[in-house]
Amino acid sequence: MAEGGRRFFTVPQFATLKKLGAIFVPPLKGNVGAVDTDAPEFLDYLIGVSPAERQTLYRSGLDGLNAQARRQFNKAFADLDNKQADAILKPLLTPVPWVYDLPKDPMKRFVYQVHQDLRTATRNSPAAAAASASSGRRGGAGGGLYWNPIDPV
Amino acid sequence: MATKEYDVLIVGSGHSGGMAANILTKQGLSCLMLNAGPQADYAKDRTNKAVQDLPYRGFGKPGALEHVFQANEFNANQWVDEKENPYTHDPAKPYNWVRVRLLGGRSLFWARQSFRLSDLEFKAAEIDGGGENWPISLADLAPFYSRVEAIFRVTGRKEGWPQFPDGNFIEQTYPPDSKTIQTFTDICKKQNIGVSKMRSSQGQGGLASSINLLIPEAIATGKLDLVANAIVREITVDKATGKANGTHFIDRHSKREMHVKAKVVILAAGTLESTRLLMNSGLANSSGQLGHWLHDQIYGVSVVASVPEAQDGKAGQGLMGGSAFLPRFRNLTKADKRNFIKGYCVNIGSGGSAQPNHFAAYGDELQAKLDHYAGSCVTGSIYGERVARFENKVSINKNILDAWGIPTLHIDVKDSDNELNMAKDSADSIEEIFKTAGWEIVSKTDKFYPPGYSIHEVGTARMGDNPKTSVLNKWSQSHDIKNLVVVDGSSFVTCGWQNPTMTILALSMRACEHLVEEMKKGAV
Ligand SMILES: Cc1cc2nc3c(=O)[nH]c(=O)nc-3n(C[C@H](O)[C@H](O)[C@H](O)COP(=O)(O)OP(=O)(O)OC[C@H]3O[C@@H](n4cnc5c(N)ncnc54)[C@H](O)[C@@H]3O)c2cc1C
Repeated sequence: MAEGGRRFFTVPQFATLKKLGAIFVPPLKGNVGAVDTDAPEFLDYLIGVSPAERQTLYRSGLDGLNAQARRQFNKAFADLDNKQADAILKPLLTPVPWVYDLPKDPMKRFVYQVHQDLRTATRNSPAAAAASASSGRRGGAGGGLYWNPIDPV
Repeated sequence: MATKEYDVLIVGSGHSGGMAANILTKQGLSCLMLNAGPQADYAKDRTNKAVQDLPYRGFGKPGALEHVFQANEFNANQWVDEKENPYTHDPAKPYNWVRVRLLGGRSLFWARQSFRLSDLEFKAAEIDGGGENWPISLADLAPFYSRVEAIFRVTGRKEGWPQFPDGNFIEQTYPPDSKTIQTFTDICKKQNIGVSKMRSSQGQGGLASSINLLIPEAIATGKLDLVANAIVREITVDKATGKANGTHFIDRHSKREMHVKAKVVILAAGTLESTRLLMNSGLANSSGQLGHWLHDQIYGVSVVASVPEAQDGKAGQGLMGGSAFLPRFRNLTKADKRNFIKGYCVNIGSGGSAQPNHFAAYGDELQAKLDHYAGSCVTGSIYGERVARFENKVSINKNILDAWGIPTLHIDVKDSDNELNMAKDSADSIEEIFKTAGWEIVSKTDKFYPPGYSIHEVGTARMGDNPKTSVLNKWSQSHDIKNLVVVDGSSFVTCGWQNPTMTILALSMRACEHLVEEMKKGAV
């Protein structure tokens, strides 16, 4: 697993993803945020082994945000301040009443997806579990009964 | 096994096959049960794990089980592997086929919601003109439902409503309703909508499966041989008599093919696998109806509202919590004319929270919204009947074989305006009740999952009195071959809004008891 570093995305794509992690899932209410948990690195791994459709959604989405930042602020997305990032991201947010009916617009769809994925990757990370254990707080994503491969062929 | 001729060969070990084995062995018949998959060992095959220790942090292995929306990284290994067991559909007509091949089939994992069909379904054609009537009525099946409910220990509240037939329930006391459930109930009453409680199989030890409620008694008779990892490929027929006389099956590991003989063959492989087997055997289709009329239920429509008094951490103290269940309340009479036929049920839960996807917000702003609504929500989840239609069908795809060289299914199903209109009506009607209660709508959708998602697929070998328009007779025997019986959901004519398993079990019990009588008479 590529917890430690970037493998799939290009350097600018990964920088954009990290910036999204910082904005979408900041450390709130004493919880760890996406960047503290290596959630962007985990998504670099996950998307790298995902079907082509998901890879394209991410790559085009990250490139699209970066291009927009250059057009609007003459900077890379990763170098925007929070107000500038908000100006790009907020118009791309959509409430999704039902998670199998995603926005048709690819940028809106990407922004929805990366937000949800960063949240899940953060919540389910070893770092989040360690942080909640050491603070003695309830929380962390928990666990369950895992089915091993059953008598595989 | 290879040389012995059994009285009955049963293909499949789920609810329907387990019931067949239970009934037939107790009547002294020698039975062989072949099941495609292995037997799970609950102690060995399951381990407690923390989500952060899973390779994909709970996301699941990308690209695996794309049709099984119920799959997650914890349970992924319980489902049929879609690479070993593929099926096809037009990309524009998605179909979710959700399968389990372990011994016990889907009875290991079902959610245990347990309902009877009513004569609104058995005699649906008389009410709404949609499709055919069943060749049986509730009165025919009621005694069998009662016995099944006793075995599965079904709980429920008796209501005396014709659209929601009461059963042989074990006693249960319900805690007093929370204020939100009372408010909801009062509004429904004013609109003549009946509000009840969920009906559910308690089983034993939290399991309501063939492997604990049905198969052990069959094994205890000494009359059941059970072979796991035996994939039935084809039903064989005696050329002289035209009767089924056994099956070819393949050992899952060695891929060696074997044959076994029996006087009667019972298919209980689950609706679509039984249909696939009949099609691959070229049997039971003189009507041309085999594989048609595939239908299930629409799932996914939902409305979420927030109770203002419960917002900002003020939920609780009898205000929130509990549940309610609305059986079908649309189209109960011919006079109720709408832009759709048939009906839907609604499951109401109080005390939930809003979800991040409900809001166009992130960071602090999103967290503030989540905190504001936490614990204050009431959710209505809606399940509705899909209409059985001839065009919705499966066929054999000879070009794509499974890992054992067996031709696979091509599934061709599309929803109609009836489903769309029903979904819209259901979301609107629940939204209206929530608004009347003074609650704030947080989220509403009238969209639903692709066909198959409900895991209630039925209808592809429907029963009927007319051999020209149906595959099975009212005793679940093939019209063409009387010693070939299909006891799973393939025999359904219409599924109703009800989860099908109680009906599958009652039909299997009824079919097998009739079979015993016929065998005694020498008629089969
Ligand atoms: C998560 C989940 C929740 C559900 N919730 C509910 C609910 O609340 N209420 C309800 O009524 N229903 C529910 N269902 C549906 C219910 O489980 C099914 O209706 C029921 O179990 C079907 O039983 P069956 O015997 O027809 O088929 P299955 O359980 O599918 O059994 C078929 C068996 O046949 C075997 N088989 C298949 N092909 C072959 C072959 N070629 N050779 C040999 N063996 C073969 C398989 O190994 C399998 O064991 C749920 C299902 C799931 C998965």
